[in-house]
Order: sequence, then structure tokens, then C-alpha cells
Amino acid sequence: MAQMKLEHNGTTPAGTELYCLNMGPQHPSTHGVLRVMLELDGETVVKATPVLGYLHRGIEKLAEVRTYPQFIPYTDRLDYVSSMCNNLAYCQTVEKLAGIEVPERAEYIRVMMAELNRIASHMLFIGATALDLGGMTGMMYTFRDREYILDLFNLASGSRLTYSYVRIGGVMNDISAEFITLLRKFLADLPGMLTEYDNLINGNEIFQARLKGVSIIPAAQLVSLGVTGPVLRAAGLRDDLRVKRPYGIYERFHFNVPTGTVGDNWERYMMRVLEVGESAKIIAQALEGLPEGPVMAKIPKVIKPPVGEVYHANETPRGELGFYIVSDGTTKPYRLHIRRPTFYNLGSIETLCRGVKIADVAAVLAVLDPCMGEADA
Amino acid sequence: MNEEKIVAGELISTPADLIAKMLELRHDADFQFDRLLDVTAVDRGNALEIVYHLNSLKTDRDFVVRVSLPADDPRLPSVSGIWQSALFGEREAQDMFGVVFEGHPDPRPLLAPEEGFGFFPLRKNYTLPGRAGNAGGRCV
Repeated sequence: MAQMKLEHNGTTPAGTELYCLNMGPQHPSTHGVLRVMLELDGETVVKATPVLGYLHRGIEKLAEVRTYPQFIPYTDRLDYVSSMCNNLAYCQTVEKLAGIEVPERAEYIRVMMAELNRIASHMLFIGATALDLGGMTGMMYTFRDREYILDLFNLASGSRLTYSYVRIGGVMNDISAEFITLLRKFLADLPGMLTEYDNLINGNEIFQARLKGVSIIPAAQLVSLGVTGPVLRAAGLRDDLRVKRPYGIYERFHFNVPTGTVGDNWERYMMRVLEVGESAKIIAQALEGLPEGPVMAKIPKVIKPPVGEVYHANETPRGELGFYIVSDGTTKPYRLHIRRPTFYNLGSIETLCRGVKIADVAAVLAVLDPCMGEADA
Repeated sequence: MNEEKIVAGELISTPADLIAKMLELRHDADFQFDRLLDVTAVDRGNALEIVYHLNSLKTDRDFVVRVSLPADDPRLPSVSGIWQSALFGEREAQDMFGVVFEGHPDPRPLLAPEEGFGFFPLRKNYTLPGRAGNAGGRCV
């Protein structure tokens, strides 16, 4: 869509004036406290400026006055819909820094938990996207199914959202036989759930029309913007750290990385739908290969990594989550920085929204799947 | 021992030749680092160390660039003209450490309030309220 050129007095050639509209911070489709300042020319967005920081808690500073294990609960509160993935990324970083080996069984349980959390996060995404586009019913179904996973997590860790289940050197405790039975039941039920979403949401003509062909951005520009995760993959790049640089034991599993061809909102949405099925494949393989043994390595009571620094990244549902830790050899990190995928993904709002209609801004935000707890740290 | 743990390549630059080196890393056929994954800073006492994490989708390599700046006047040129992700990353480092990225097109506070925090929270000379030395040792 052609962008209208502004005349020197802030008017468009047609003589109309630009209109400034605040979307958020209290807006249902911003998924938290994100504010977007929209400059509108009629119904077309000329400029969209994201304003962040409403949920800034200074997590990086808090890390400097806490010991390495004490920081795990804070990672839960970054991206609070995929806490397992955050726990995993942080613990693996500390393990890499301190040279800690993790028992086999714990590695398998970690993969299962991370992928289950990816499914839960994507289910929330599918429902929230439907809701943002006016399909209230869709949300009910995905939230019903997501609850099943949260119950599983509750069984394993004792909480529904903030698990702190992955620990430095392993996991909190072993999974029970009941957990495995329920997980098998969930995997058996999942294809039915996906069919239901296909019929109800993905197959809906209005839903498709709202997403297809909207906000197409070339892959090279998204790369420059630092966008990672499903949004980048929708533009056709097969960029998934689980495959590219397998962490933990991911190289043992066979799964596909869905990629798009056009890179519009519809493909960004479909990436998540397809990833649910791929994650289920990984969980099934992990269940199959789950060995017996301890779930916690013998680690010292006080974790004191050697002097040095490390950057380690995981593929979370939203993209590349990296932890950069500088250690001075004491029990607390000297500096801990988190490369949050949502933070950099939000940097692309201006590019993604330019030229779209105002009604589609909600769709662009929805398929970006931002989680403000993570963006604001 | 730690060299193995640090990501593959590393380079130490100065503010004066940062842009030239970054342009080479971005465009030279041997490097082709097409994305800047992260910009951050580390407070080293008298110096602030700016750390850039680069990555290449083409060659799948990582690279770290470091620039050391005096803590009392930390300024260096912005690399946002080379990688757009620096637009956000540099603003975060600016809020948290008070680093001035010269030539940044939109240097308003990002995570800090519009008027700024009034201090630089991630610098070591800022202690958290309730910690020793602040609030008379009371836990807040």
C-alpha cells in the first residue's frame, strides 16, 4: 500500500490531517500492557510507535543480588506462558558456565516439559488470535485444552504457571506413573483437538480473509530487525535453534520445522498451529526413549561457576531466548542479561504495521504473540 | 578453559573504528553477520564494556564485539544504520547504563519512564533499595 507523503504542514495531499491514536496500555488486544501510538491517515496506519516498560521490574538487577539457584523463579516471570522454556534456557546457561552434566532421564523430562509448554503457549496463541479477530468461541476450546497441560504441570511441579521445575543440574522431582498415563492420553487426544481448531478457527473463511495477504515483510528486513521464532520462519527462513544448534538432547529427535513462503499474517499464524503437531512428535519420541535413573546431578550445595562469561540461547515459543551471564567466580552473577525474543520482535511493529488498515493492527499484534512480562523484563 | 565456553569469534574495538569494523563484519564475504542478536553493557568499574552479539544466518556463526568506554562519559556511534535491531537494543542499554549512542534516530527512553529513571539502574554504583547502604539496612 502506498504511503501518502506528508506536506510540510502535517496534512496529506488530499487536505486531510493525520490522526494520532493511542492503542493501549489498557487494550484487550495488546496482551498485557503494551502501548502503540498510531498515526493514522484515514484508516491507514502511517506510523506505529511501540511504547514499552509498563511491566519493567528490573529482573536483571535483581539477579545480581541473588545466588544462581535463587534466580530460577524470576525466569518464570519473564514469559509467564512458557515458564518451562525459560527455566530450561537459564539452567542450561548456568550448567554450561559451571560445567555441570545433567542425567539422561532429566534431559528427557526437560524436553517433554519444554515441548508441552510450547503446545500450551501456542494453544493460548491460537485462542487469543481468534479472540482478537472477533471469534470468541475459538478461545474457549483452546483454553479448555491448554488447561489439560497445566494440570499435567501441576501434577509434576505443584503449580499451574510458575513452575521453577527445571533446576540447575536436573529437574525438581521425578515424574509419576500417573503423569505418564495422563500425558499419553493427552497425546492421543491432541489430533482430535487440532481437527477441532481446524474446523472451527483455521477453516473459517472470515478468519482467513482477515489474515491472508496482510503485512507481508521480506525476510531480510525481519532478520535486520532481530525478529526470531515463528514470525521469521513464516517468511521462509528455516531458523530454529533446536535444529540449527541443538541444545540438550534435541539432536536425538526427528521433527520438521514448518516454514512459510509468503510471510503474511496467515502464515505467521499457521506456523504455530503446525508446530503444535511437531512438538507432539518430539514428546512421543521422548516418552518412548525415557530412560530410568536419577533426575538430578550431584552438584555442590553452593554453585560457584568459574570466572568467565557465556551466552546460551534456546528456542522458546516466541523465538530465541538467550542468557548472557558474566561470572566473577562468586555465588551470584556479576551481570546477567536476557536476550528476550518478544523485546526484539516488538521492535518490528513499526515495520509490520506501516500501511495496514487500523482494524488489522490488532491482527498484526496478535500474530506477533507478544508477552509483555518478557519484553519489559 | 573459558575460551572454549565463550562463543567462537571475538573482537575488541574502539568507538572510533567501530562503524568501519561493523560494516566489514556485516558485508565482508568471510563474515556476513546479517543479524545483531543483542546489544548490552557490563559495568567493569571504571569502564563500561558494550557487548554486541552477532550471528550469521548464512554461515551459522556467532561473533562477539566489545567496546570499552570510560564510565564517566560513555559514548560511541550507533550501529542502528547497519542492523535495525540495534534501534531497540541500544535504547535499553541507554536506559540501564547511561550509554550515549551517537546518531541513534530515536533516543527516547524505552523501558524507563519518559523523563528517565534519574539514575542508571544496572550500574554497580546503584544499589537496590533495601540492600546494605540503602534505606538504613531496612528490608523494603
